[in-house]
Amino acid sequence: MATSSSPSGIPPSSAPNFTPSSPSAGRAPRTATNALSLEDDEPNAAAQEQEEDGLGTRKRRRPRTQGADVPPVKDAVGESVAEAFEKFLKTFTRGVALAHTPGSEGDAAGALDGERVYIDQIHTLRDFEITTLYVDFGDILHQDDVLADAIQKQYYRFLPYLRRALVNVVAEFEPDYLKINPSAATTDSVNLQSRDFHVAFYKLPLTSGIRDLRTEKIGTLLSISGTVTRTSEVRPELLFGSFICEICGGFVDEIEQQFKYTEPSLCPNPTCGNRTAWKLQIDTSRFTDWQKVRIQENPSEIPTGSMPRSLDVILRSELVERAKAGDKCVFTGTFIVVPDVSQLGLPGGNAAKLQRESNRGGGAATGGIGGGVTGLKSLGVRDLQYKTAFLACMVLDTDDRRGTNIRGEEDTGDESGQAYVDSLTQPEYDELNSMVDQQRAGENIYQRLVESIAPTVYGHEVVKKGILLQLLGGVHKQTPEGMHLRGDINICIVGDPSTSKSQFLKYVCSFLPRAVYTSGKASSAAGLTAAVVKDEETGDFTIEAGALMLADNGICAIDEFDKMDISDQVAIHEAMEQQTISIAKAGIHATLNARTSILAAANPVGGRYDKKKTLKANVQMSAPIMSRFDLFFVVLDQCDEKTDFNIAQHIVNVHRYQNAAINPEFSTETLQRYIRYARTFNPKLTPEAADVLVEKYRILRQDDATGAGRNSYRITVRQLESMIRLSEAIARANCTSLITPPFVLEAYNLLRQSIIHVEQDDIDFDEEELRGDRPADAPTRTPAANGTDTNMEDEDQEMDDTMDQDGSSLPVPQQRQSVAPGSPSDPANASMGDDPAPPPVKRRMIITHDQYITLQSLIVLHIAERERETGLGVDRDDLIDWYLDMKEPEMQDTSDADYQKELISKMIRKLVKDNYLLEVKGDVQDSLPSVDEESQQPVEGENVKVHYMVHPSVDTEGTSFTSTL
Amino acid sequence: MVSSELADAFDPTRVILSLYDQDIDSFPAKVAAHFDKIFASKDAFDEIPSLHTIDPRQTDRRLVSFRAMIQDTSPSPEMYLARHSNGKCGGWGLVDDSGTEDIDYSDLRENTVLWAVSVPGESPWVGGDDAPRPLFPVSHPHKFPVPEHHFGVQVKLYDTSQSDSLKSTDAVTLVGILTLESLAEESDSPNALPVLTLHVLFTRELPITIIPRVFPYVPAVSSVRVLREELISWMADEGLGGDKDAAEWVLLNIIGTVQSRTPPLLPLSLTLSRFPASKTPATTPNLSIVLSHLLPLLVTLPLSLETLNNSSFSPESKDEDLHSGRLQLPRGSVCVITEGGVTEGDVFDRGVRNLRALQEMMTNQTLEYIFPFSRFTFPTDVVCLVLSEGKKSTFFQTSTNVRIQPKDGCELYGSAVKLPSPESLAMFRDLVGGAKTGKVTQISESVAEYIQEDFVAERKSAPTPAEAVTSDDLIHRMMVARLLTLSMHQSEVTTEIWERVKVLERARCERLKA
Repeated sequence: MATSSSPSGIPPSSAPNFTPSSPSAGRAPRTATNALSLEDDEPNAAAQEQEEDGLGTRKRRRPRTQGADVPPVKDAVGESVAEAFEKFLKTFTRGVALAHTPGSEGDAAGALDGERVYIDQIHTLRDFEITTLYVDFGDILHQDDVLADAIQKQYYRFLPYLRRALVNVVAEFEPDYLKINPSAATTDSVNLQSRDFHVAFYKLPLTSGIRDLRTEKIGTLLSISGTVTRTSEVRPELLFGSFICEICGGFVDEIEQQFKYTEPSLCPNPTCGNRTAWKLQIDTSRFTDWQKVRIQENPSEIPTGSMPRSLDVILRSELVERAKAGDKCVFTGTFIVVPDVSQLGLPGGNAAKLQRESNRGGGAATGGIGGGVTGLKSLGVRDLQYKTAFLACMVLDTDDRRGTNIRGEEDTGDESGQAYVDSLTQPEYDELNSMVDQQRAGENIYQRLVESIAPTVYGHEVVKKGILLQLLGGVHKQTPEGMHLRGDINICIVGDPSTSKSQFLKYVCSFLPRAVYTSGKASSAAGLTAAVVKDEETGDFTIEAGALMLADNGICAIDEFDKMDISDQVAIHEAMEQQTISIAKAGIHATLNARTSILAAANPVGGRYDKKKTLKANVQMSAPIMSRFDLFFVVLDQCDEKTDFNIAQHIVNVHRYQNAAINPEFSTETLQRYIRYARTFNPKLTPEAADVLVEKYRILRQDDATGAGRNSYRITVRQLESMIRLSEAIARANCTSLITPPFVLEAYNLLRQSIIHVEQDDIDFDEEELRGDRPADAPTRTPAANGTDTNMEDEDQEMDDTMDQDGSSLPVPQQRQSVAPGSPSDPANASMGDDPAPPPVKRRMIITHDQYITLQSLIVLHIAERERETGLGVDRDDLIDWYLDMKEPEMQDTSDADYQKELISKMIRKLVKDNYLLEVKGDVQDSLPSVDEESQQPVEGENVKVHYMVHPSVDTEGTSFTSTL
Repeated sequence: MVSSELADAFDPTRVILSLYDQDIDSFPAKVAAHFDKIFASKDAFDEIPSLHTIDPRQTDRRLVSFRAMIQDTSPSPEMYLARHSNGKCGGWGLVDDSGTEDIDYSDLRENTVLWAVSVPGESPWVGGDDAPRPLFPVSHPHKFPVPEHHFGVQVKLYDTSQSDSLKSTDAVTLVGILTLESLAEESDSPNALPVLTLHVLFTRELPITIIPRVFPYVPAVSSVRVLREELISWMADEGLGGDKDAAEWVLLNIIGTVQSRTPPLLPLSLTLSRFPASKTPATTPNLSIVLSHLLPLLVTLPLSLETLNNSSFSPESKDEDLHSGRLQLPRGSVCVITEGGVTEGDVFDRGVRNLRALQEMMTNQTLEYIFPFSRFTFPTDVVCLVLSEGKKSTFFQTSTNVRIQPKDGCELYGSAVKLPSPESLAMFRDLVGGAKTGKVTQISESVAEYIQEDFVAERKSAPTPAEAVTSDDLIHRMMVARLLTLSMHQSEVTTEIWERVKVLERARCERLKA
């Protein structure tokens, strides 16, 4: 008001006053906005616009708080931007058919070669009655980077011109659509309302965080990402007001409203001079939908130790109700500053009484509180505060950013890899670059990465490998049917108390920002999954996130996994395979995302890991859950002087030198950057690698079928998927998009180690002989190689357990476990030791566990087959003969034959003992297998006819046996 | 010259205006540097009136200092007009009197808004005579972790390089201009009351002991060893029924701090089990009182079903206002948790969460803050001491469990604590505080060898594998050895200390078996 310049109302030279021919000269480009409300801005603005003429030299832009979008003086640059944009819309075609839909039903479905994408879209605007044109910013960048640059740097300044360009194009291609009711146009010009068109840009190259918004970003076009925490109701916002002067009755139209209610500041009637008495004409004023959304920084963007920042986002017209609380969204638009009038009017001293304008923030502006900016003055000026907000032209829910990746933060392939690289500082970039270069140069960075994982933990290379791969993850895929295939790698560490299990878990939690550490024992009411909670104040039911949900897109580290609630165990199935959590409680039915990798640590059943039992018998976990872990690792606490010393040295060194002691080659930060970069790769199998994969899977399956792999769980398609995931993660570790055969081999080895880890450590060699040794060995802990054979005892049971693929099988293993301990108990073994075979035989009866298993299934199947044919068992001698016949080609001399004969005898004995076979003395038909087999051992009868039958508990129908031969 | 500057500085508004040089980008840093220099000496700094000692109602735009804990850093930054249209300087609550509203948006700068509270759990002796006086009504009780009288002020920081370094629970002295303003976040609610607002000129970080201490400490009178014995005796006699072993464990624990997070060298947590129940209505154990004379920051958290189920241990953001939790405590705090008040009944959901939060703090020194749709973990550095009547803590796993054996007839609650002479007390504080600030402890090659071989030998000689010392035990002993060294104000772990650790550990384990 101080510098009122153009007192007369009708603006003569408002630049964007585009088509005077159009009946209501006011299109979006606010013709009449002019100076009425803003006189004092003008001279300044004019000066500013002039200085802005050098395009792009100024970054900042005056975001006016009121209808100042339109510079009152001709903005030549603006004009040329409008022209360029119009040209772009009219001419842009896509060479390649890259059809896409930016989330709007109104978008052009497809753009075939040479089709004018945006003209098509304008036609569809009409068809679907929408007013927002969605423009891929990449297209502008592609076609006209000067235009793109102008829009990006001075978006707020050029916004009216862009919209005007759109109106021009609409006028050209869909002229009827310009007006809301074109038929009435000719007769009633007052009712002739024009439509407001909007331009929504999406796919900006870079998405900023809330924290990055600084004053220099004001007015530029940018994308920000955040989680919606609150949404206001949708309200009408006055866009252009029509007023009647209460003094002279004159009509003033098209008063643009920006962020606050603005009346004309002076009646255009030269004789009137009214500045204050105005009446809003609702019917001729134009409104739009308006919504304020509060967003909060994404967890990944918050520096450690800081709290999340929040920001208001203003959504208008068709964008309202696009974002819901809890959604992670990307908003495109501009950062603006509005004076916070509510801060005013604090009179000095303590008698504070705040006067404020109730209609801040552009809200329902219809409530008439006098005077816009003029009001400020009357309050007496204090230090004025300014509020920031984000004016969005586009909302995109990142969770359904189309295509294969369901991870918001990983965009497709190289593109986001590039974006990530761009966000690094120079030294960070150099470091990453050199790491990638080394990798490319063939240096084995993979191994060195592994060594830098969890440096506080001594040893346990394999576990570290697994954790590295878990951090890298496999590729998330989506089938054409829309089914998501998880890429997350789940790992379980089983081991003795006070080994380093928890340290691994804690390491991962400190490594990943979105990792949640929880204990299976101490899960709260929300538990691992989610709970429906009644809000104390409102009484509403809401969903409370559990650990799995909190770790969405991260890793959920669950300690004491074995102590988890049964209900949680069941719920975790879904989370592990489907990556969702379903809730149906208190009238709430919801499926929530829980796309998380699980790193679990479990204690063995008996407190300490019993190497004489299988993994399954050691861990109290249902088979279905077990099968959902890609990798199992067993960590044992072994008294071994050398290891002990190394551990001691490691611990002492940690205290002596702290970081320097563990000094990994790559710091946590370096690793984090490398992993983040590596995760941008989406590796695919090469044909050769696919062949290897098929072959290895076949081998695993066969091992499994022949029994060698029947250790923890059966090899199924799940393990094939695991192998693919692991291969993908290994390829990522190598920063390549191609999975080559070596990667598959590495994955295969890991998987094998994981499946058979226990057995390899525990049994492997020393088959029969061990029986003699074991009673002596059992009390003291034996070095790893000195394993045991008895773990086989339980294997068949596990195998059976895995048959029950539902969660209800949980009690079954327990029952069976109670059976199992009977057989491997020491007395039984001792009695076995009395048998002729053991100690004296100096040619040691050693076969590998694999051989044993192969043999076992051979025999079992043979007998089963005979049983089926004859209904009888197999005679002992027949069995031995059959075996020797089979082995004949391999035998070289008689000692071999003797050896084989003895082997098969022991084999049979062991199978009987292990409840694979039933030993039936005498005639098969009339002897009932009711006798406890083990008590039968004293009879080593040559004369007694001995038959063998398959023990009823052995499942010969299962694929594990049938597919063998 | 300097003295005149010093005198002038008490009218900060004028100083700012006269310093102003139109370079709005570097001006906040310049202001901070200027005032920081003027008050560089301790004497000058002490002349700044403390917020605690003045009547805040009468102090618009006065220069004050405030020893505070940063409670909430979540408010959005504000924009202020750094250059008023008449060319005068803006910020620090300065009024634009140019009378024009035509502002140049390029003159807007960002200032940070925080909420700071007086330091929770601060022992009365720390502030000397400037103990908080209840002159001003407490406006935001939900923003203070403990239900006590406190000050809370809105803080505005203009030097943004400074503000980024201020994190939740940081203890700092803020020096600035005191005004009364409406709360930035609440300015749109019609009944917002004005709050004390401090426009910060400069800040001083406070040490973990609030009052600076020296390590190693060289006492004037007696040797450290003797002093340490005196201290342990006093703690034992006044707080622990004469149990010196327990007193030594308490001493070792209270001097613990986070030495490093990677690798994790965190303070130990201690349970004093079989801690007798109070026979009198008094529920605050004498131990808390004893410790509050020694420690600058001590909070007693009496657990009961009521506190568990109805209070919040974790800070929680509600409507973008961070409500404090019982565990939002500054670095270096000691938290005494008494389980004596727990009765039979149900622990509900919130109680379970609270227990988890506390356990998490004990084991990982982290605390989760709850925000809408997410939780964020913040680092803590708080020593936890659990007093339990049972054989072990009802709720928590602590790294050490010491069964207390008080002499018969000793009252551990409510009796008057006999203070030593002020000189002794001052030396005790120096000893404890110094040990707490001590960081690096050397372990020589030979001692390292000794420890390693000791470990191997001990494992070898274990009768059964399950009874063997584990690597966790070794880690624990190393921690204790480090604390023991610090408590003796030595800088090197020696074999004697190692053997002493083993003696202590063995005695502790014997008691547990008994």
